[in-house]
Amino acid sequence: MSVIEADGLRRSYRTSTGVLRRRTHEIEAVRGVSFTIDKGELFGLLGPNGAGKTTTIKMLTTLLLPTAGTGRVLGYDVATETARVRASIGYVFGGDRGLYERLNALDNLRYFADLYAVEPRIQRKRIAEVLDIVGLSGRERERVEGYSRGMRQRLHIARGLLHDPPVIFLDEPTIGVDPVGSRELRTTIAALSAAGKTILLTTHYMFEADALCDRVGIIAKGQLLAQGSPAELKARVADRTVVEIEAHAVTADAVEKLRRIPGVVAVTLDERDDGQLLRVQSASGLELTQTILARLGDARVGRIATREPTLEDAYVDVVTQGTRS
Amino acid sequence: MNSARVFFRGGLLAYKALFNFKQTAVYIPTMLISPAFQILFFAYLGRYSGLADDNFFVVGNAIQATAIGCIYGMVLLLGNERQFDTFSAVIATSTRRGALYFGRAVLPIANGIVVTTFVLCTSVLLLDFRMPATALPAFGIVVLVSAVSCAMFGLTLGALALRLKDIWIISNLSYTLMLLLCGANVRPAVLPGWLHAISSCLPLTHGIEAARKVADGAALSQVAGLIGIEALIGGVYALLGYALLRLFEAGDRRGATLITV
Ligand SMILES: Nc1ncnc2c1ncn2[C@@H]1O[C@H](COP(=O)(O)OP(=O)(O)OP(=O)(O)O)[C@@H](O)[C@H]1O
Ligand SMILES: [Mg+2]
Repeated sequence: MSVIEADGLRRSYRTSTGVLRRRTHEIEAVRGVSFTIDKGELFGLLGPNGAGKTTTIKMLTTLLLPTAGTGRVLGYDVATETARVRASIGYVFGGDRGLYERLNALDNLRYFADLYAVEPRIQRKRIAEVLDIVGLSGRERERVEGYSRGMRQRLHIARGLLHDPPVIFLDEPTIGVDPVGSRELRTTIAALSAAGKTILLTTHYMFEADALCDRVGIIAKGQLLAQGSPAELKARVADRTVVEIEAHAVTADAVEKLRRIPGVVAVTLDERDDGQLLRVQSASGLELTQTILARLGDARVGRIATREPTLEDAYVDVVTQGTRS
Repeated sequence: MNSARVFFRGGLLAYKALFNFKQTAVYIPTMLISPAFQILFFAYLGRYSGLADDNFFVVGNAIQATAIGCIYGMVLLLGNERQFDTFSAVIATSTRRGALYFGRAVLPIANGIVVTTFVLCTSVLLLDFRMPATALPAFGIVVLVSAVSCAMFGLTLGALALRLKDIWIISNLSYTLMLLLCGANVRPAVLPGWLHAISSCLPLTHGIEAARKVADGAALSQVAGLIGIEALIGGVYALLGYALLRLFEAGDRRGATLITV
C-alpha cells in the first residue's frame, strides 16, 4: 500500500491587486499532480521556483485544502481526516522563521512535544534524542534569537521528528546550511529513510536528490513532468554530452543563437559570483565546442570541459521540454 | 491528560514565548507603575472636581486594571503567532484546540489579578482607600470573575489580531474604550444611549459595579446577579473567540491567508 498518495491534486490562489479598482485573478499553482510514495521510500520533488512544490506539500500536510483532486496519507484523506493525518506526519519547512525566538530550543521542543501529545514520561529522553539527531546537543539552552540559519533549520527538523512520525515532509531542509552541515543533514535524512520512514523531500540541489532519493518527480508550472529513479531520469539523457564553459559577458542573444545550433537540446546560463557558467546539452558524438565558441561573440571564455550528463542535466532537459510546450 | 499539559504548561510556555512585557524592566513600568498612576490621576481629578470619593475611582480603576493583563496578554499571545510565523506549525499539530486556545488565558488572567492586587495595595498606602477586611473574600471573587471574563473578551480580540495582522491598534483601542465605557471613572448611566448599550455588553462593567457594592459592605448574595451577568458575558466572548479562531483556521486552509511560510 502506498503511504502518500496524490491523485489529481489542484490548487489555485486568488489574489487581488489595486485599491480602487480591485482586480482579482487566479493563479493556478498546482494543476493536477499525481504520484504515490511507498512505505519507506524517499521521494524527491524537484522543480524551479514557483513550480508548486510547497503548495503540494501544504495540501498533503492538511494546511491547504485542494481545489480539486485528493491526497491521502496512510490512507487518511488530507481534506477530511485532518486529525489522523496531522498526528502521523512531521512537517519541516525551509527557512529561518517559524520558531519561538524568545524561547530556547529546549522550550520550543517542549511546547511542541505537548502539542504532538508525546507522552510526558518519555519527553525528556525523546527531546534529547532529536537534539542529538540534528546535532544541536549542548546548544539547547540558548535562545533561538541567537541561532544561525543552519541551527534554526536543524531545530525545525528536530521539531518535526519529536513524535517519531512514520511520514515526514521536508521542504528544502538544507537551505541556508553550510556545506559540512548540509552533508550531516543528508546523513541524518538517509538514516531516517533507512529506519523505515516514508519521506517526501523538496530541494533545489540536484546532487542532493541524486544522493538521497529512491525516486524523484520533476514539477514545473504546477504539473508533474516526469518521475522515476535518478538512474531512470539520467537514462533519458544518456545519449547526450554536456559542454560546460566558464565565461564572462555571455549575452541572452548569444544563448539564443546557441539554442539554434542543430543537435543542441538545452542551454542554460547560470550567473555566479566569479562569472557565468554556460551548459550546452547536445546529442553525443557531435563535436560542437568550436561551433559554440564561434557563436559566443565578444564573451570572454575560461575553462571548457566536456562531460557525461548528470541528474541536473536530466532535470534541465525535462524542465525546458516541459515549459516549452 | 495531554490536554491538561497543553492547557497549563503550554499556556506558560506560550506566555514566555509571546508576551512582550515579561522582562522585569518592561513589566514594572507598563504593568505596575502605569496603572498605579492611572488610579492616582483619576482619584486626584475626582478630589479636584469633587465628583466622587477616592473609593469610587480606586475600585473602578483597580478592576479595570485587570484589562492590562488580560487584553494585552491575550492579543499578544495569539496575534504574535503571526509575527513569528509560528501559527502554521501550531495548527499542523493534532492538538485539542480548546486546550490550546483557552490555555493561553491562564497567565494573562493571573497577571491581571496581580496588577489589580498591586494597585489596590498602593491605593491603601497613597490614597484614602479603605475596605472592610470582611469584604475581601467577596471582592476576590469579583476580581477573579472579572479577570476571566475580560480574558475571554481578549480571546475574541486576539482572534481578530491574528486575522487583521495587527496587535497594537486592537489592544490599545480596546483598552482605551474600556476605560471610558466600563464605568471605572464615568457611570455608564450618564453616557449617551448607544454608548451605554455597548458598555453593558462589555466585560468589567458589571464586575466594577459589583466591586463597588462589595467595597461598600454589600454581601456576596446581594451582588450575585451582577457577578452572574459578568460571567455570562465572559462565556459569550469565550464562545465567540473560540468560534472565530476555528473559523479563521478553516478559512486559512481554503484561502491561505494566515499561513505565510
Ligand atoms: N499564499 C499565496 N497566495 C497567492 N499565491 C501564492 C501563495 N503561495 C504560493 N503562491 C503562488 O503559487 C505558485 C507556486 O508556489 P509554491 O510556493 O508552491 O512554489 P515552490 O515550488 O515551492 O517554489 P520555491 O522553489 O520557490 O519554494 C507561485 O506562483 C506562487 O507565487
Ligand atoms: Mg517552496
